[in-house]
Amino acid sequence: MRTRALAALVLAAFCNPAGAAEGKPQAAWVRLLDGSRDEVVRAEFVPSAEQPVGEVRLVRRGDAVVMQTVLRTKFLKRVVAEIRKKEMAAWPRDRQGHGDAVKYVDAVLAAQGGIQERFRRREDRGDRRQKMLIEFILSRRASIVAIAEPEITEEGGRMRVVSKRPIAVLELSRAYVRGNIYEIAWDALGLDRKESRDILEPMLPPESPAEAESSEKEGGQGISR
Amino acid sequence: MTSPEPDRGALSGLESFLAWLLGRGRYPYLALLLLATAGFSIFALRIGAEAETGSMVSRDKEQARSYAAFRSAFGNDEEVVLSVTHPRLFTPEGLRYLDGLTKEIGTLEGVLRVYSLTNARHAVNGPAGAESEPLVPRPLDAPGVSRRVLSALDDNPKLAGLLVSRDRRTAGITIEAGERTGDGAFPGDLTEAIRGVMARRAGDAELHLSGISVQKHDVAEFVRRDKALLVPLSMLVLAGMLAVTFRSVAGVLVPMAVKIVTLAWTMGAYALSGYRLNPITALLPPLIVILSISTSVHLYDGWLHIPEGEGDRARAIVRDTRRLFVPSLYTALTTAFGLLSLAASDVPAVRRFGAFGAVGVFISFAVSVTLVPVALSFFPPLRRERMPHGGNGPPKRFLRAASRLSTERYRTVLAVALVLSLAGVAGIARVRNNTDLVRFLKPGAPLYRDTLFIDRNLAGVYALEFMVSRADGLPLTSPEDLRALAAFQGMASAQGAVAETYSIADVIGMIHAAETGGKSPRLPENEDDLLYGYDLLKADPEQPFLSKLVKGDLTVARVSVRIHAIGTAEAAPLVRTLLTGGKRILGERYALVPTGSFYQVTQDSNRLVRRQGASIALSLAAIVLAIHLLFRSPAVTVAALVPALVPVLLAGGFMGYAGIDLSTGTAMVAPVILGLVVDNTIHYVARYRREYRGDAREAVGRTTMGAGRALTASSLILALGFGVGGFGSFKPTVHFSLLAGGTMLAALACALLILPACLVLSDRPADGVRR
Repeated sequence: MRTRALAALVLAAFCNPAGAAEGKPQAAWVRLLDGSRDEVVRAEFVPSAEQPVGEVRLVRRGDAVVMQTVLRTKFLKRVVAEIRKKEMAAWPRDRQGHGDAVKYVDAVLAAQGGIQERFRRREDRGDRRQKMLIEFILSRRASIVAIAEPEITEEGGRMRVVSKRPIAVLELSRAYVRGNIYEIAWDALGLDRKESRDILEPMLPPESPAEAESSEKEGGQGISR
Repeated sequence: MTSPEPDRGALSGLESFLAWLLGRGRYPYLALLLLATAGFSIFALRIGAEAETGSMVSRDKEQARSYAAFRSAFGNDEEVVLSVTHPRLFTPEGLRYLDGLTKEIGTLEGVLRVYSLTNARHAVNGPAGAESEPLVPRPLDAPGVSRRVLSALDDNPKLAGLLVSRDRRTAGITIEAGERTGDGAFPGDLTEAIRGVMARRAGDAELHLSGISVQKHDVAEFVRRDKALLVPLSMLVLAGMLAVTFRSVAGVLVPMAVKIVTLAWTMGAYALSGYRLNPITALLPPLIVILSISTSVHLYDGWLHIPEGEGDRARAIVRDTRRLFVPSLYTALTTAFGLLSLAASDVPAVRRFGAFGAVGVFISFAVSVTLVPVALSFFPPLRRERMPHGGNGPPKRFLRAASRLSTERYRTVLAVALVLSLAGVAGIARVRNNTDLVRFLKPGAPLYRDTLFIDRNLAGVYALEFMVSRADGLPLTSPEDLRALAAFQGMASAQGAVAETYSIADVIGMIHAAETGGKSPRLPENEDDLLYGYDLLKADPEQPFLSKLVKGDLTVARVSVRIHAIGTAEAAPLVRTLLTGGKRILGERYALVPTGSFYQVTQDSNRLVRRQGASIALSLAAIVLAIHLLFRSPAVTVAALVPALVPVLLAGGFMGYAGIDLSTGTAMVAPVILGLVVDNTIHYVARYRREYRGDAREAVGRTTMGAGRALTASSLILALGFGVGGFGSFKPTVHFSLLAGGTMLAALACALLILPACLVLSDRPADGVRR
């Protein structure tokens, strides 16, 4: 277990090329990571409302668009393994963004390892569900993926993040973050290509035409595979 | 020695009633009897067989509570096992065959789940830890499938024990049935449906089917078959015996009419009470046919001896009936007491058998003392030369020899009786208390063969179930809890008759090994890992094992100890060993409760012995009381008891020497027979007291020659009637019938030899000199 925890820390450090050490996001990103005024546009339980392990939400946060995944499950390790599998399938080696996908997956795995360790040492032995928050954030100036360990309550049958313990913030390419927002919209929010375009395009920050076309096209390829 | 003094007022009332019955009352009585018999027959003919065997299990409250708790926590414990022996089992062809069979059975109505090699899953180490994957990879004809399956089975010996034989030639398909319907049957008659699939698909494979619900189905079929065979057969045999004995139409028709009426009324009443037949009560119809013979035979024999030239035939019949009324009433009472003593049993089927047997005896008595006189009033008297065995035929010579032997060599007769009784007592000590559900059937029965085949090749056919819980009531979520379960299983597996043991500890051990990358099963060392194992099982819809092995709130675990097809003689000490060993291993921290349908059988078998002692004591006390009330003489009561007890001791001794086990069926022999054999004694002593004029030897001679023929006839008829049960489908039925029949012959010998010898011995002549 110690080896695994150490590996997680190493991976987390490795996955922070922009200098965002675990738990200490860059000052510029603080506003982007503040979810206090989130406006939820669309939300779905995953994998189903009957047996949810989490909730995926499309959120408007100021001028940024956030694809937020709140996980609360006894099987976090398995869910992370599933994320890894899907990520590698959507971002194969020959697709631009594969490198970002690998960084993202490594960061998620490391975060899961850390959460697991803290879970073992917890004092409250009642709730055995482990929690993880993953946010794909795209604003005019930034494209980041934030991973945190949240505190969650339920409100009206929905999960509400009341606080969070930041774990990692990755600055990844706009094409990857934008592409993954589409991937998640199709996979978890159950939107088809047209619906997702109709909802997302008006929300997402304008891109250079070439990049926008590229990321959407790549996202489309990802899901069509 | 004085004659019994019957209540003159009551008997004159009886005479008046009989005189009316034989006069103006004849036709109304017959019409009423016919109508009632027709009515009861409608219900009697509709009796079905029990689909459940609940009535064969005792009503022990503690036992019932534990079993109800077990069923509520873990569901139906009745599984059906289909074994498949295929010449090329581990080839694509064999696996395809098994897969097809598994899938087809899974589609049958009433099937909840089917487990076999081809749909089993096992835990393997994957990227995210333990993953459940099919034991047999697809496609079935992929290269190396056979090698991979065999290797997986070698890695999971517990799983392998359930799915395939040690020699890897036979696979087991375990079928979990759904809930039964209101009448206790599975929807769509599951056993028949599975056998239909087996017949259609057998091909190269050898298929065997067994399980508790199959046993119940087949037992119900055997009960139906016995009911259809034994009653007509015993009727036929008894009619033949009556024809040989009396050589007249009336001699056959009159007693047979009594039988039919008694049978219809008793079984009609049984059906109206809402009962169905089970292996025990299936004996009721033939028993009633047999028991209803005695009084009618004695009455008919008395009618034969009404002197020729007697003016008023009706008056003579009334007088003869009155003469036999009191002894016949007492024989009916003693027989009924014998049967009613079975009320001491806490097995409903045995109690029901005793109660309705007694009802049959009283109906038979009431019908005999009314129908026989009425019927005989229609027949002309038999001429002396046409009387059966008149003159000096073999029966007379036999009776004369018996009379001489019992009076001239009474000491020798009593000495031989004493020696035989002692030998009987020695034999009784050898009787083994053993109920063996499979070996209740004859070796030729398909279920017998199938069950023993499955028992030899797969992991046992019976299961002793144990519920383990923490004394503090908390869930079994500590690794220590699972280690305790595993230790108990280890102790149980070391016992000889145990084929395998299963509990949640096995499954968690396999999952944890897969989760952590180990190969051999290994229990988690901390609570989180253990709970994670539980969570994985709960979340896997393909493997509903958790609910079969641990209660929903995790407070009670099931340890299933699979054992080979043994009888209760071996199982009862095994249960004791497991309980003692289990309590030692688990200590004060855990509660260990044995349960399950097989456990109930072992406990019932033990209880049977204790209850049988009570039944015999009750029967004996009632008989002593009845004889004493009838004859009002302690000497006669003692003298009458000796010939009643000797046949019972001989029957018990024979069981011991012949290796016949004391079981649910044979345990009923002694109380029933005790009530029957005393009939001969009552008839003999009643006649003896009329014949006694101061000289016991002369009285014995006259009694043996006078009453001996009716006694011999009724005893032979009873013996042969019981003998018909030898064609029954169940060994306890066969043993009960043959023992009862044999005991009736021994009882006849006792009535004609030992009883007269006792009477001669107990005689106190006025001059004090025994000649």
